[in-house]
Amino acid sequence: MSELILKNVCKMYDKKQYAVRDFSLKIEDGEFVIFVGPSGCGKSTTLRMIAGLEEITSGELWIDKQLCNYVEPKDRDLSMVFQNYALYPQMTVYDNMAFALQIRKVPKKEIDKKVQEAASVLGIRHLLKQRPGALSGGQKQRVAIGSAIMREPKAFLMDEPLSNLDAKLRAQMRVELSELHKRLSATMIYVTHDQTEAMTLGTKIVVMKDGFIQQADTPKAVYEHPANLFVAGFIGSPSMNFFEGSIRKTDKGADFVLESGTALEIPEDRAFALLNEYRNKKVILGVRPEHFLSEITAKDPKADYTKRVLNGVITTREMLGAESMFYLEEASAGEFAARLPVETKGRTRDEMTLFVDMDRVHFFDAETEHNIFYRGGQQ
Amino acid sequence: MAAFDHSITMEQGNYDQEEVAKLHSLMNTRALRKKRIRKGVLVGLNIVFALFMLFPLLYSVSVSVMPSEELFTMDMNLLPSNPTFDNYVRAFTQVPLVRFILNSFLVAGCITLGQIITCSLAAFAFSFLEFKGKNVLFMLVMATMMVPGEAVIISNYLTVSSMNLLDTYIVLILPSLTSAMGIFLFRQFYMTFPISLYESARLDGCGNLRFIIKILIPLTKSAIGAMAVYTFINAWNMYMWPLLVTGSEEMRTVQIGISMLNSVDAQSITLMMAGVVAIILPSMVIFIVGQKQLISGMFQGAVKG
Repeated sequence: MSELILKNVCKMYDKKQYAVRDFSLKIEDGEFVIFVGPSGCGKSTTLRMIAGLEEITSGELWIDKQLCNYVEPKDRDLSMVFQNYALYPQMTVYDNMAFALQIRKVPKKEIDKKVQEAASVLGIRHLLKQRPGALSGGQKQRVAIGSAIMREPKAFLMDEPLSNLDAKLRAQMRVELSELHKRLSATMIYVTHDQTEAMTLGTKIVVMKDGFIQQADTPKAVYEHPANLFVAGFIGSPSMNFFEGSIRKTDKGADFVLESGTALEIPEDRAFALLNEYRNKKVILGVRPEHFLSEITAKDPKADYTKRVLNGVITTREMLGAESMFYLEEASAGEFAARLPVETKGRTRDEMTLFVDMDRVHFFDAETEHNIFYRGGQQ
Repeated sequence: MAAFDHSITMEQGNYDQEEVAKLHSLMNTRALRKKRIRKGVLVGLNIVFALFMLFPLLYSVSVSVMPSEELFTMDMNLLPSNPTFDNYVRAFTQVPLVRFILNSFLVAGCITLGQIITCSLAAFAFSFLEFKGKNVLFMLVMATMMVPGEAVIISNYLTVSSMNLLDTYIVLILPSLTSAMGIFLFRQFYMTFPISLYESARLDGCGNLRFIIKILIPLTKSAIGAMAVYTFINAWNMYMWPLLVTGSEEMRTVQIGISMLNSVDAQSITLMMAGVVAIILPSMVIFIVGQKQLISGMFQGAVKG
């Protein structure tokens, strides 16, 4: 397997519009890298540039210490799984899987062995003689993955491979892909707009927006330490709540003050830094729905939890089974969501008091939208 | 809910089982009769229109088996009273009609094959490959469709005569080996072809020619079939060009041969009809055979459908 390095890769269409800009990333051997972002962020374009289906406007692509900008797609030794499977309908499943090896003039016996092997790994041995038209979506995707693993390429490229499947099958295939990655210990690059897939599959997530990398890090790091407002809002479902407000000095430290006057006490370790740079300036507070508490579960004995309270009126309540989602309306901040235990009492239009876990909230600069406490990540 | 269920049992209680069954069958026959009448009317209308459309063809078949004295009367003779195959025998003996038919087959066949090869390759380039000036070039090709064939027929004649090609098979075939219309048709069809199949093939290491032969052609059989039928019939019906560039009897194609029947015996319409019917048959056979190819369905399963 192999190592991929992208260095300041840009893609420009029609000499005016950048689709991808200054994309720099090192993909190590055996990593499962996810490109995630809203549609039009350049994630698919980047993948297609790696595959060689799109020309690289500027920048360098190194595969295994070899400059690959001008190498033909077939000589890059990568294989790709497409969103719409891209199976050859007139060939049987067996021929579909064998096609790439037949072109490379691999001996028939060896091809047969490999096809049987890959088919049993993916559980499609009984389908080998069928044509793609007779298969279901999940089976087709398995065949597509099968033909991709046949060649033992340097890396697998996957362009939203699961987005045509229904929710249940998608979850199942997600698990299988993850197992396949472990089994093959292959380098995989995977494009998706689904942040659940990104979080569950990847060993590294690359969040993109408007052609720029926003953050590239492990799923845990991206979730817990988002680099900016966009990443914070994009990763996590339901997404993070944002409150605009300002930092005010108090006797003990500092408060975050909403426009309505509600003050939330900031823990000591961060209060000092915030006071230094952002006193009376606008900041944005980010709170994940799960970081609201319906009752005090005090962790910090010194903290006065009554000063970390947010009030709101319940507008909607959703039962999710193990938990409930509450959508509340705050006087100045507007609607926000809280994920609370299912036993939590409260009906629509009731007033509700929630405690905010201020140790786990994020502060963003209102102008640059950067996370104030983000100290870079591994790149 | 309970009240609702109750009311239904009450309603049913008014009829016993037999009455319900009778009601069923009564309504059923009424619906069936309505359906049948509607279908009968539709079929009848269709037959009337079909007869109307086919009348010239059927009448020419009828005339072709009529003795000529039966045609030239004041009576309305739609059907021959003494059918005879004499006209056919004379048509095939008076002029070398078999030779003409073979000539036409050869010419039309070569043109069809040539057009399919050149047009599909050109269309492949125009739809799958990226190169500079692609759109301008395609516009140019399309622009040639706007020039009527008659406008260039003289200059074409001068060109081939200066090449000493007159009165050969080559001159009949060569100018029609490609067509803008064919390129356009193929390109439109390839535009609907899932591009990811091409990309996937490229990553698999499949070159352009191999892609065309192993994947594109098997999957576009229906387009090729439609194109072949269209081209063959067009080539079979060529008149102006063969008339201009062939002189000897051995090189004549059927369409010109038929007019020769007229000039040999100026008044024999029955003879000409026999010839016409004889040469319509091959194009009809081609159409019937080709029609099967026109039915697509090869795309099932290529991509998510």
